Amino acid sequence: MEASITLKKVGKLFGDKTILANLTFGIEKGTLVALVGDNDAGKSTLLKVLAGLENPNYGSVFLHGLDTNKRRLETRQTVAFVPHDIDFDPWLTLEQNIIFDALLYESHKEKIESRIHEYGHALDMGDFMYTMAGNVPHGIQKKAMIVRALAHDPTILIMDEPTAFMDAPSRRLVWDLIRKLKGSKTIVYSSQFLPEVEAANDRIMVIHDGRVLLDGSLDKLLESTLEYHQFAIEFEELTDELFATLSGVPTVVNPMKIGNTLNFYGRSRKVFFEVLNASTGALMKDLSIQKLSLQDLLDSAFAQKGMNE
Amino acid sequence: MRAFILRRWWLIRNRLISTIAFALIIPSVLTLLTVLGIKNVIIRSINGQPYEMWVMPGLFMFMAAILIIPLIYRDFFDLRIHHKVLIPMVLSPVRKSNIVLNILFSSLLEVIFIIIIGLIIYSAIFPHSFNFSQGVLTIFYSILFAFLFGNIIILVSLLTERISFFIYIILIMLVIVMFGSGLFIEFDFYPVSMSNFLRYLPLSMVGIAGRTHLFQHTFDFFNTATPVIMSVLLILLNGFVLKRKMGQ
Repeated sequence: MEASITLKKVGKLFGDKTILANLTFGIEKGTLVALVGDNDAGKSTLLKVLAGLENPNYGSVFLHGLDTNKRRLETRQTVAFVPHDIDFDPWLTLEQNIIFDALLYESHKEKIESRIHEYGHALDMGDFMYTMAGNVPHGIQKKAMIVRALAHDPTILIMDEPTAFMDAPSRRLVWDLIRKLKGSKTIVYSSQFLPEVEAANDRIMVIHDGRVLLDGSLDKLLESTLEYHQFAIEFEELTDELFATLSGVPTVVNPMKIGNTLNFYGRSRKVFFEVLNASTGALMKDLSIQKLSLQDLLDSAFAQKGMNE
Repeated sequence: MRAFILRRWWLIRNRLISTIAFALIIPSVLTLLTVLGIKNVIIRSINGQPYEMWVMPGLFMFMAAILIIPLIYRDFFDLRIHHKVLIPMVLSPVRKSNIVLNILFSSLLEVIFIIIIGLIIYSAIFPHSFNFSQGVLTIFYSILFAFLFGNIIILVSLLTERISFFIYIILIMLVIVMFGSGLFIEFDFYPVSMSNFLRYLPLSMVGIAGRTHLFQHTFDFFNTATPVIMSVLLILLNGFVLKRKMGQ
């Protein structure tokens, strides 16, 4: 399949700190790719590098085979970026902001207005389009930023937290639109709303310390953790001594004490019986065992301990 | 260009009442508070012209400078510091020097509009102080002045990160424009060494060229071309600084 975005040994430094470390990967045309990871993992910087807002210190980014550094104006025509923060001119209406931006890419105002109408309708913008941006709630402005990004018909859409500031109905509308666009546009986004990422379920890249820690579909990522379960055992009284004893059980991964509840990961259900033996008769009140989710994968301690085992 | 002109028109239309109010207040206040007072001190220019005739082009150049400051400040300082508008602008397939030129050009359209209103007010206060062709030439040289001054303000806006520092520089610039560019006081009133220096400031050259054209009917190529060349160089420099400042 044709690559829409290709990174070759891309690195970004801020002073001595490495933000992106030697990234090499490709993104196929028409795919929906999520970047997830802790704060400060490098997701936003990676998106800015892809969008052309930041230049990498080394390496190259190619959009549709064109080097973004050497063919700057051509590559910019194909890409649109939705930053995390609101960046509209507060003294213009949302529609005026969008038309102005789109006219920088395309001269046909009728086409632009038709797209604004189409995507504005899809995101239920209503009369907010004709309201001064400074008087519009942030969630609505964020939706308008998505309309702005689409108004010049880019082939690559880069979004930093596309549903930030939005209420639940707006988030649903945005996801409906993203699913509709998938296939015709290459979409790369970052998100902290992991249930949304799990639901979209195309390709997920887990970024950690400027590196791609995990990369693949949700099923593929969780495949390596299929044996793992998340345990939560509530004791009548979980003393520090008991917690230390149970933490020492070799098969218990990443134990945590929350009140009288012991949370940990285990490779199989039999870990429970090993904990039971080690608890030497301490009274248990409740027990829950769950399969792992994307959130567990992002737990850096687990990702480092569990995945490497 | 079309996008930037449309944007400027929308910005004017969205604050129409305040734009009209400023279009009336700024020329009236500047004319009344500067010319009416100084013309009783400097009654005639060294060449013998009535002060209100001599000062007219200088007054409108100063007015153009005053008018362009808030427009440039907003686009290149305020919106940049608050991460608005400039981000999508610099991501578009438009060269940075073109962004600078287009914002400046569209701002000049607003300046021209207010200067025309100012000329009407001036002719009402001082009838017969200028004829139609002098009015047109005054607009032309005021725009040339604002084009150069606007570029300098863009550079200051891009290079400063703190509002207090920006204001200090703007105030110093305004004092230089008002007293050191020959707009209100002729260079011959200054000590010779100082006058020789001030005459060759690029902003002063616009004033000299304007008055030569208006009153001696001679096109001063050197004093017109030098500020134009300076402005073009500043546009390229500002484009480069904008690129650096936006991390491009």
